[in-house]
Amino acid sequence: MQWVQIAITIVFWVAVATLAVGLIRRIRLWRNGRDAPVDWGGLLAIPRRYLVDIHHVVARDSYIANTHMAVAGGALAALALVAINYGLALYQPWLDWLTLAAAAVMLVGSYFIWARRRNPPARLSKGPWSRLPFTLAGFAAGVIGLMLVTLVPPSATTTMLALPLLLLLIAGSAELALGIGAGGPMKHAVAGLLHLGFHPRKQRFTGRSVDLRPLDLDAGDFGVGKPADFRWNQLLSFDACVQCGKCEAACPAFAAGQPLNPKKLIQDLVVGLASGSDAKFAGSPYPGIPIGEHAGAPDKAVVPFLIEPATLWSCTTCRACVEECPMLIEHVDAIIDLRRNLTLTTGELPGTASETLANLRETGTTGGHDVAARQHWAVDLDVKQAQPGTLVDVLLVVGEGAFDTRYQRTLRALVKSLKAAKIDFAVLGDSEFDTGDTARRLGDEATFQMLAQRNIANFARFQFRRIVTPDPHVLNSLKNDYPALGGHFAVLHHSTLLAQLAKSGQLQLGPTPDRRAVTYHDPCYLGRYNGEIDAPRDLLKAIGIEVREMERSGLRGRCCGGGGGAPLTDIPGRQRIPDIRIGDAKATGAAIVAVGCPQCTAMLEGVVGERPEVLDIAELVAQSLPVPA
Amino acid sequence: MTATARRIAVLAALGRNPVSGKARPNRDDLLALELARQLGGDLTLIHAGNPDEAALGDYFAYGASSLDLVPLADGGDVASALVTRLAGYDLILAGSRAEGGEGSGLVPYLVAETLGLPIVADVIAITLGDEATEVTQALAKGQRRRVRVTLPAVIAVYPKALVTPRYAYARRLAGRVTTYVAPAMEPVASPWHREAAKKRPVKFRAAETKSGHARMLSAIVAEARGGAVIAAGTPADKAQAILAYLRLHKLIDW
Repeated sequence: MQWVQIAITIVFWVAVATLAVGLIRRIRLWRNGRDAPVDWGGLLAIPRRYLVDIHHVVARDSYIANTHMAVAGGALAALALVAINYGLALYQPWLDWLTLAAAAVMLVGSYFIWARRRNPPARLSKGPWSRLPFTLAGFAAGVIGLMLVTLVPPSATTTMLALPLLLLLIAGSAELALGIGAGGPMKHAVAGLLHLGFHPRKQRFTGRSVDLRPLDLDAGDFGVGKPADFRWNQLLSFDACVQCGKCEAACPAFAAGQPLNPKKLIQDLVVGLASGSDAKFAGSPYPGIPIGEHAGAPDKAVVPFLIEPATLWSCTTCRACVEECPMLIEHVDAIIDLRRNLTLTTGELPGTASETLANLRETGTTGGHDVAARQHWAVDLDVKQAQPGTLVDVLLVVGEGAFDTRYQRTLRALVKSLKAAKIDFAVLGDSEFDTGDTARRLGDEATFQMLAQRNIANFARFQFRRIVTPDPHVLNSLKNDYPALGGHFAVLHHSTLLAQLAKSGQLQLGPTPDRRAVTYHDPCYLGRYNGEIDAPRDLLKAIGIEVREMERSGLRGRCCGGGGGAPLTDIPGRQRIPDIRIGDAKATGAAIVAVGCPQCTAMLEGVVGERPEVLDIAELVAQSLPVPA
Repeated sequence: MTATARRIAVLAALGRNPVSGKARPNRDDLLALELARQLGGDLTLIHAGNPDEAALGDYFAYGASSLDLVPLADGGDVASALVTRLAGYDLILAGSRAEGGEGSGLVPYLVAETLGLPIVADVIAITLGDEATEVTQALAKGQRRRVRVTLPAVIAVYPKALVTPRYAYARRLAGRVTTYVAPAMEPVASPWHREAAKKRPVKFRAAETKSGHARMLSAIVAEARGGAVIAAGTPADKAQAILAYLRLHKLIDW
């Protein structure tokens, strides 16, 4: 069947040309973004990032992981074989057999996509995505049919079948080739692979990367006001989205009915980058905001034309969406970039956020407290105050919780344990200022940098080996955000230090006298941001507590609702986030929720009605200290 | 004259954060600035004081595009210095309360007196009309009064004015200061004089632990007053009784 083979060659090259034209068009759109260093070496790393880093995330859902492996693997193999055999016009029958086998694998995969989409979970987008199992199956079936046609001896039947099969192939190829240029579902294949190569946080592939990029305020960099203000590789990353909605399912704000859906946010930014309206979005809307009323363009302000401010202010910056995203998209970075522009150029923040920022500027505390009163909780505990010129092992940075009478109990418990372990520690007397974490998450980079510089200069006055803090927000700020501004410190969470001391035997712990069941709530800024999920559990184990894990825990833990200034902006929803989390805790039957963060303590304790008792790990540990003889 | 062509001056003072004492724009003056910004028109922000005070820049962040600065030494007469730059304005807005030091909150009144203008105090909203200007005053117990004002006038803004000043750092960088020549003025003698505080004895008083009912009884029934009268005994016994009483009520800890 000479003419069929030539027809396949033509279809192949037309598809390649279409893809190339589409890709060039899309690259032009990405290039509207700001410059970012182009890491060409990243392209070489794509296979490893694809097969290892992405697989790590995708494999959590083994059904779709295997399905995607069959479809994408089959398609890539079939395309490669067709490229060799037909693209180069070799027309080798043995290659046809291989192509047929690859396409068959793809066809089987397409069946499973179809099966999943017969009764899809709410998080999946419909619309063009619903046609995908059919077009992919069409492509696979077309390839299989045409391979058979070329392999069997020509007859009247094969001639009759060849034409419809060719049309099937053309339809399937159109889905693959037009995707990137026309913004169809298959855009993800090309943009996704390029995104892996040019990822805005390539450190993610070698370790953890959660530090925020400092803004050059003097140069007039005030974050992202319009889509073209994103860096080009961020725009590319938005195009990688497959609308699987894993982010939506993980988002605490979405679950609470606040007007945020990370998937829709990324799709809105795609709309902004490609110009258009959000009317074609076929997934769950932002709760309470109808679809079809917003539109954007690369040079048009994102807020409020494309995205409502309430959407941005709903985010708790818990990074659950980022943790779940199989395409490794950085939703929180995009939200912070957009918040920065709102805060720095308009100052329009909802709720008490503006007041908090003014407090930070004027008093160095979020609550507007007197810095000199920060250590009052320790007034009767004989806690050393750091003195310039005297070396201490541990500098205890207590954070804003020190002003809260409830949290002072945690601090006092921690001091008890530190003393029991004979740790040489000191607090900062009247010079502990807020790290500026809340300001930074609210987009107020100016206040953050002012506080960071003040703190770095202040820390330089004292001699200490390491900083220990019970506040994961302080930990994250000092550990991840300060290095870019010249502050390099060894920072530990109190649970990490106590776990180390318990392990080395320096801290003798008895079994806990409290026999009630315990569950542990991972603070986002400790777990997801800093990877510390083991120390708190080891510590609880050391005092004889077996943790009853909640539905979401560890790196996938659910947020308490207290991060990113969300309690300040206080965007109304159907439900409160901490109520959802306490619901998780109740479901385990635990009578105690162990926490390791002042924010989590405050949020979870704020839940009304019957609920488990909220106790910091430091309090549980202090209870278990043997009574001195 | 149309409403948007009015010339508006806002008097800007430096305030202090009540907790940290850090210099900041006076909160009420920010409200005046925000009210003026919403009115539109030709807006001038005027400050008399130390030209090197960095916190003045925060007025730009809160929305002023420029600041006219009259240099004034510490203790100088602010109102007189401001008046030198206040000729020809239709509206002069200022806050009502001073935030620190010897600030008295009298500047708008002194300015009005010097310029011979009417002053409306406790204003929470202003409507500029082509014909007349209406302002809303806050009265006690949440009452409001609408007042028609003939311009030019001085308006002192009430702390609960219906506007929210917004701090945007980008605007802070864009603001420009125009510094004028310091007016020649006699330094005003401060009406305050300092004297050392005298140490006074502290009266010990036992914390009240009685119930409300018992307190009521002790106020109306002589026998229910409690306590003991020690007439007999040696001076040492009496001293011991007093010590025991003080210890019981934790007034001494030795």
